[in-house]
Amino acid sequence: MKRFMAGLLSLVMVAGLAAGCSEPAKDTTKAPDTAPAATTPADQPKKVEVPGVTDTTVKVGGFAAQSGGVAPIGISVRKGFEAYIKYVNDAGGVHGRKIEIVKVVDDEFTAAKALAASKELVESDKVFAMAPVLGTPGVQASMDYWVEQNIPVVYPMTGIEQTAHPAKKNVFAVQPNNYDEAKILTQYAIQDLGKKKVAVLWQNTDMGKQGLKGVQDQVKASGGELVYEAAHELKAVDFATPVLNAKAKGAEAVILYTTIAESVGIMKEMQKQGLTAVPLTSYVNADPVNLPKLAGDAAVGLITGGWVPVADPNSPDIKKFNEVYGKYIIGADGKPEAPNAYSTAGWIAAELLVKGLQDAGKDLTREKFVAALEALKNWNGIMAKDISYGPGDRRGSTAFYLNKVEKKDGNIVMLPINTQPYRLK
Amino acid sequence: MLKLQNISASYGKIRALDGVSLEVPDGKIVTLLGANGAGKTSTLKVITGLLHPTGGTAVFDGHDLTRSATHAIIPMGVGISPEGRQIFTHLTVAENLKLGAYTRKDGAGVKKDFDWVLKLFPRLAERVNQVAGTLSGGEQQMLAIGRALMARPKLLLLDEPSLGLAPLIVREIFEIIKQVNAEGTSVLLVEQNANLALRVAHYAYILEVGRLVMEGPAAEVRQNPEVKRIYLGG
Amino acid sequence: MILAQQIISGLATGSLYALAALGLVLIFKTSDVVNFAQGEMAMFGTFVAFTLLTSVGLPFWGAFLLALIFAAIFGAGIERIVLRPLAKAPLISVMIATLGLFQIINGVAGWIWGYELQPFPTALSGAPITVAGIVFTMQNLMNIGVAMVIMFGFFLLFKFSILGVAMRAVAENRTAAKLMGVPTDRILALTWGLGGILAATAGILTAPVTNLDINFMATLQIKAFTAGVLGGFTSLPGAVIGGLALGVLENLVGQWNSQLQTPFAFGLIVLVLVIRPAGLLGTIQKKKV
Repeated sequence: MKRFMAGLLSLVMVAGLAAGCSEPAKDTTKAPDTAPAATTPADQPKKVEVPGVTDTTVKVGGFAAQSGGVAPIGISVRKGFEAYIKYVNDAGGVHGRKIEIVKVVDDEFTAAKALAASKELVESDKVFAMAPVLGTPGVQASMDYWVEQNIPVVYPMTGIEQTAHPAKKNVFAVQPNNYDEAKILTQYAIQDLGKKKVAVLWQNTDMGKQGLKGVQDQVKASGGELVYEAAHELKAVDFATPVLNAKAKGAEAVILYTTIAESVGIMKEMQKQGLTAVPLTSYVNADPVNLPKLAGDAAVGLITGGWVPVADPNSPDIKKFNEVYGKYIIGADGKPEAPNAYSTAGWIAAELLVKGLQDAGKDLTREKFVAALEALKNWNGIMAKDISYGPGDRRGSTAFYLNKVEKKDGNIVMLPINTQPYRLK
Repeated sequence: MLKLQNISASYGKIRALDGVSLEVPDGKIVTLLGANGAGKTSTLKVITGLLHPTGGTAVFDGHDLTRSATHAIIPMGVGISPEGRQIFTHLTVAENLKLGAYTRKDGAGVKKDFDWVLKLFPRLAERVNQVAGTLSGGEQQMLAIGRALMARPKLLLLDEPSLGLAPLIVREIFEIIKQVNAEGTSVLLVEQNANLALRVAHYAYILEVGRLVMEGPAAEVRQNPEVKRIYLGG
Repeated sequence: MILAQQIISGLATGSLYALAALGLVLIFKTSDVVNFAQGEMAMFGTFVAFTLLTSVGLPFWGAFLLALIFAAIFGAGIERIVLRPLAKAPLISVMIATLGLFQIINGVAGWIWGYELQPFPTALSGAPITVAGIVFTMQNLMNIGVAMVIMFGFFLLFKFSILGVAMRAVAENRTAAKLMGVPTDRILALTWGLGGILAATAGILTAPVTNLDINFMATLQIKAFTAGVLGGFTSLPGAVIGGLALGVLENLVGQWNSQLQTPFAFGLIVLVLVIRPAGLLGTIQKKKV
């Protein structure tokens, strides 16, 4: 359970990929509306052929690594997605239609296989929408094709800004992207903490580059100054040079736009070199169990992003999630499995898909589905929280819940800073 | 001491030796003559375990050689100066010599033989800490023989020790071979230079394409008209 | 001052490159095999140390020592079980086999220890020492210290022990070494064992900085190859100098342009190879008989 809560507070990041989680909600969301199954009127209007849709089924499919190093994440995502879909289907489906998951292709976290999977799902399997889709390589490779085919894509699971910038009519992001988050962290450092001299240490990958861009675009607006920025490679081992330089340039805040291993390495180097600037990092590193375990004392003072507030394990939503998930997902030992952060992300994708199908109404078309999602304003599902879209806005979640790492009673703990959403001013 | 009987061997499908029988008696120098590719080096490979024969027997000092690994044969009392010398050019002269005694356990004896070899080859003594690759051809041959002697062998195998060397050096080397033999070491000398070999050897074998074509006491073989014509240049 | 600091830090990182490169070059020299599984051997050995530390609860140096013993047996076992049966196979097959080993070791490690990043403790956690404004962190001192001790040990082994001389002889001419009565198979297994020790040492020294997961050696291993090539790939001192030079150079270039750090390092390798194809200290490999 402790592990699960860790996942809920935020997400572990693997190779530029992240998954999501939730908060206690004020009201319990009911099971999705189910339309009476057999009330098709005799005087049916002229039928429009919609790909993947019949009177009784709607087909969806996606990709997520099921083998290789990312497999533990991909498998969890698939299970979370399946659990909620089975739950909905057992309750009668949506408007009389059962949701059929044609397949979740094992793309092995590779661009080429993911793109092939997208084409196959759209052209041969004729799915109505794509979900779940997991991983930066696959999302990046498929994006142009999705736009060209105008196929609805629900919750591309990656932190790259292309999911939301520029907004694509048919692609609905949920988790915040690197660029937007970097702006938030910059604003918080300068305007809330008063640390005007900002340094960025970024990973030489899309994640780092987009984070750097976000900081660069925000420093002026917030009235600060970017005193130093330097790149490092994925899995770098030596951070002496950038830390020394940040120190020499008088940095007061150091934004770490990189994955968890490198963030920990940088914070340890900062501690060694006596650089007392405030470190800030992305939600993808905000793992309340692993981060203190990996960085120890060096993490004290770290500000992390987060796009969901701290979860209360006793909230009705979390209980419901655990119960439903455990009912449908049985482990190898024959016992109900406990969900994790990644299965939560899969679940959220399914929730959003079902919400769109519901709101689109009985005569389902892709246009109606897209319009239904676009109309969402601060929508809360069971695990999906505070999701909004609008014309030209496909970001999904824009609220931030920041955390701070502190030493409390001899333990290194990650504590929430704000309970109300923190947004860009 | 060494007795090969009816030895056949091949490299894949290519037959190298065809029923070769030869003997090296205790304390004698025996020479194995023949043209390039006649099977001389293959015979030495069979004796040292680098080439396992397909048939026949090879016995040294009561040990069967045909099933033994090289690192088991050398400590039986076999030392070899191989074809092309094959000294370790990146190692020093001293290191090369010490490797010659790799299988020996008697530290004091090794030390004594080290001094003995350097006395035998004063040119090596002058260059003992030099990297072997910097030695002249003659010195390298001396090192190869010295290295073989470091094993304190009962049987010394020499593969073409005269190859590519100036006559003066060759004579020096052959003097030492005689001296070593006089001190009790048996020698199997493989040579192309029949003239020279037949002068130091007690007994001779002649190989032609993997078969023995002639054998006899060296003095007799030297007088054979056929041998004179083919191997002794008239 | 920043310059001096960067050189010290570069030497510390370079020591890790040097250790890993030494293992690669040692194995290549004696067995002609480019061991692509070297980094995974390091990773596996580091995980063994991790288990000894966390599950068994051994003190750091005890776990370190036992992990090195494991690494030696592991390396020698790979030679015996995988490489020796391939002795007569073409070199390319042998290299593919080491690539296969890479995948196998990586997969098995993931199966045993999972895919999550694990914290790896460091032996020396004291406060950094500052001398003339230059900070010497305990980790840096330990990297340099352990690397120096191990390299000095290797120097003694190769220079003064008959075993070390035999290893060099096997590296130069395996047949001739055999004819000296050297059991070359055993020497090769020993070489792989030593390669395993070097790899695991590099891994255990790297892990406190990067933390530990099954892919943590990936970047370091590429740097080790680079250091080896820079040094000539056939020269043990070359591997050490190549590693240290690469570590320092990377830091200095990083000062000028952090994004070009890696491209510059590799550009330099290409340049060295163009000017001196054998590397800094290498000799052109003769075809072995």
